[in-house]
Amino acid sequence: MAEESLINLVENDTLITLAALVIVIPFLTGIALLIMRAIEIKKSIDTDTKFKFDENLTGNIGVAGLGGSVIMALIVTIQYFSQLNLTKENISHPVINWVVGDYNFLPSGTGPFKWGIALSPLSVIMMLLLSIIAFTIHLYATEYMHGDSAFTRFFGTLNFFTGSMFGFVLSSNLFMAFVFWELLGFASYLLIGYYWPKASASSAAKKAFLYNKVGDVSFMIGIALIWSRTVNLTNSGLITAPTLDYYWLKHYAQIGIEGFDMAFLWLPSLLIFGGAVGKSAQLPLFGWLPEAMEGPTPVSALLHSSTMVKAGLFLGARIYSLFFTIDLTDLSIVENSFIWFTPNFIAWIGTLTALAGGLMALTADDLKKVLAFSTISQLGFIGLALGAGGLTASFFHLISHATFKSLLFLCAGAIIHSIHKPHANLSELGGLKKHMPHTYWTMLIGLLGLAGVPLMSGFWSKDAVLLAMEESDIFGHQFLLILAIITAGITAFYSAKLFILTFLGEARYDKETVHPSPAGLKTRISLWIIASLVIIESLWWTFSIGLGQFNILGKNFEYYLGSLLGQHQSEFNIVFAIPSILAVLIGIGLAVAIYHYNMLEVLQNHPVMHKIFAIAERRFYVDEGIYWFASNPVMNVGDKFSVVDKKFIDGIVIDKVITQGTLTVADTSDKFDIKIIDKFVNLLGDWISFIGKRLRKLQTGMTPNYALMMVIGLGLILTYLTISTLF
Amino acid sequence: MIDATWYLGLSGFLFAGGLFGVLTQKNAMRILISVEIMLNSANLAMVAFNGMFGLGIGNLDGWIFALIVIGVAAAEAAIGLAIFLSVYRNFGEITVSNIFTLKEQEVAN
Repeated sequence: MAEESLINLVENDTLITLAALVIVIPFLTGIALLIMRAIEIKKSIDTDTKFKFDENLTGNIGVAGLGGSVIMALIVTIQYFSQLNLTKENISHPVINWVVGDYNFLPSGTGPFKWGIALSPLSVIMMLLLSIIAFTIHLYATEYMHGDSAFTRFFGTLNFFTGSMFGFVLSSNLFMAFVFWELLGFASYLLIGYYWPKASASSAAKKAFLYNKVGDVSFMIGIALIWSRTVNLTNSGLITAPTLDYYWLKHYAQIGIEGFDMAFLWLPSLLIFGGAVGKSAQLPLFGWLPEAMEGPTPVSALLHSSTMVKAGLFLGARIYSLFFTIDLTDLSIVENSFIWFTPNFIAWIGTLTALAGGLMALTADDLKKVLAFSTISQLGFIGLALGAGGLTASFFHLISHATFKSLLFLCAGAIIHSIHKPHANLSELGGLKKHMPHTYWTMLIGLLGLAGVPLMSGFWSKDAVLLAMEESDIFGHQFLLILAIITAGITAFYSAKLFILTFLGEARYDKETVHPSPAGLKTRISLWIIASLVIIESLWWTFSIGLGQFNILGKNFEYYLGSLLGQHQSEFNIVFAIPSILAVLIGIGLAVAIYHYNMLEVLQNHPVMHKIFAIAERRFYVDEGIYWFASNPVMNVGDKFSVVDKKFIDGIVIDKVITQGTLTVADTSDKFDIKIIDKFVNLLGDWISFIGKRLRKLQTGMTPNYALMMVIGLGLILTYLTISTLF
Repeated sequence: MIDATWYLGLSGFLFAGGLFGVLTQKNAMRILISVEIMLNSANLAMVAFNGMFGLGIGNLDGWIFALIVIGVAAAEAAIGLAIFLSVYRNFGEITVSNIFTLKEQEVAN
């Protein structure tokens, strides 16, 4: 499976500068907007009124920041691919150029800690996708957030957030990736807690931050292990310099250096994947993602489609070569059993996450939470493909999921905006089709993609994922494949359920108070931009992969992607796809039967189903397990430490040693001061006043006395002079 | 020619008498007079010494000193009388032993 393309390292300052602008522009506008927000707050306090810049101004700055990024990203993409020279002859193993530009900010000018941009097919495609989706979401948000009191802050943070993701995607080394990774976590904290006066929003922000932090620590330890190993290898002369660059790590892993093989790399790569578990909400750290729905809907759309949760799996794709340093089909060189550990771990975690996310999505009632759980499930699919060795398949699914999931969230936002409620519960919706025709059609397109209905974008990518699992050597891959197909059916089921309960049937909301209004102009434009992306993807892949038509270089889309990423897998095959198609159709059929025609109530009310639903509703006790772990063993250890703190440190060290010691020293010096220094000073004073009192007697005030004294004094002087001249 | 010793003796006698007057008398006018006597005894001594040791015809240092002292004495008498007048106006008397405001006053500590 490890068919690696040739990789070249090239320099191209123009491309690097343009790519740097992609990162810098949203950062600059974001910071400018945050400064404007500070001015707003200052003026509001000074004048004691609500001061706010014109929304047209701030909104346009925010959108313009992303607009700049889109333009730069388009130029970079076109230039990058035009210099690759793909032809019919070399399409199976093209020479891939990595355009890398580094800036050493350390004074020594060496070492792995530097800013850098690496343009590889993976990062360029991701950047383009991200910029288009993020731009549309910004455009959408200008209408969605209209009238919000902190409009400026929202756009400032959103720009900052997107800029961080650009930085992460384009970074050339693990160090810079980690810096932007943390910025991403911080910005998501700000955005999830956007309505921070609400207790649920601020606790959701804290939860997201802490869950991510667990992964971050793991990621950091992984980086440290790799770095220290490269230092060791440099000292023993096997490599030239310690490094954290993706390019060199990939290179060293592939040429097989002693000490940089799977026997060492399984642990660091596992730890780095631990970071991805936190960010990409894999089992068991998925609990923060549904809570993250507390943020405004455009944030959810951005968070779930192409930023944040994709960052983790994108990182997995970036360091993919560290998971698979050797040709896994050649079993003769596999001696260390740990070699199998990381890919197996990732694949199993991914599959279980997919299944668990799907089951949870079945039970959720809140429209946005259904979509959140579905994101977890789809992320599981991506992780599954990654673990199974299908880099291409996982990236393929990442692209299709990013588009349809952002579309779905934008639709959900339009619905929430339309019914003017903080949450849209499925049990209180229904019959929205006639009120919001545009949302109806776009959501239909998005849900068809999500469900993986044949010929839609999700179908092709999901099929590639399943195929990757089928071909892999993962332990129990047949079992995982069955689980994945079941999950595909579940996905289709809840997608159909969501659609039916939202748009069809009778309205279940309170008709007195809720009057759904059609979506606004900018919302409609944004919805159709992304919907058209989904349609384009679906048509393109249907013609390219399914029918083998219109392929310029003679191969289909998946094959191109595989060539660019350096990993091919078998092509689509209709016989293999039958089980998943059947699962999807059964899922949709069941949902229609149950929710549209209200059949099969027997099944719905069956105690076994109730039990499964109850467990899924409690999120499989994973969150509760984490809470238990946080509150019992961790708190116990904390209590023990607190006893040590109170008894030993406070009780003995502070109270006894430091306090008493200080008091004793102070007492002693006080006594010394009073008894010795004061006494000496007083003695001198007493003396002087004693002498003075005696001398005062001489001053009688009688003129004759003074005269007498003068005479006596003169007499004494004369006597002295006389005596001194005599002798 | 009378021996200079006699002059000096007279001068010493006058000085002693003046000093006695200064120390014993209580009336300020009397003290002033005694001071004048002491000054004049000094004048006498200086003139006598000029006669004893003044070599050459033109040496008149002692005389000149005496003249200066007379001038000083005149000035002193004028100032002293003015002070007495002022003291008299303030205290109603010029008895020196009754006027001791220069003494340290008892103050409440």
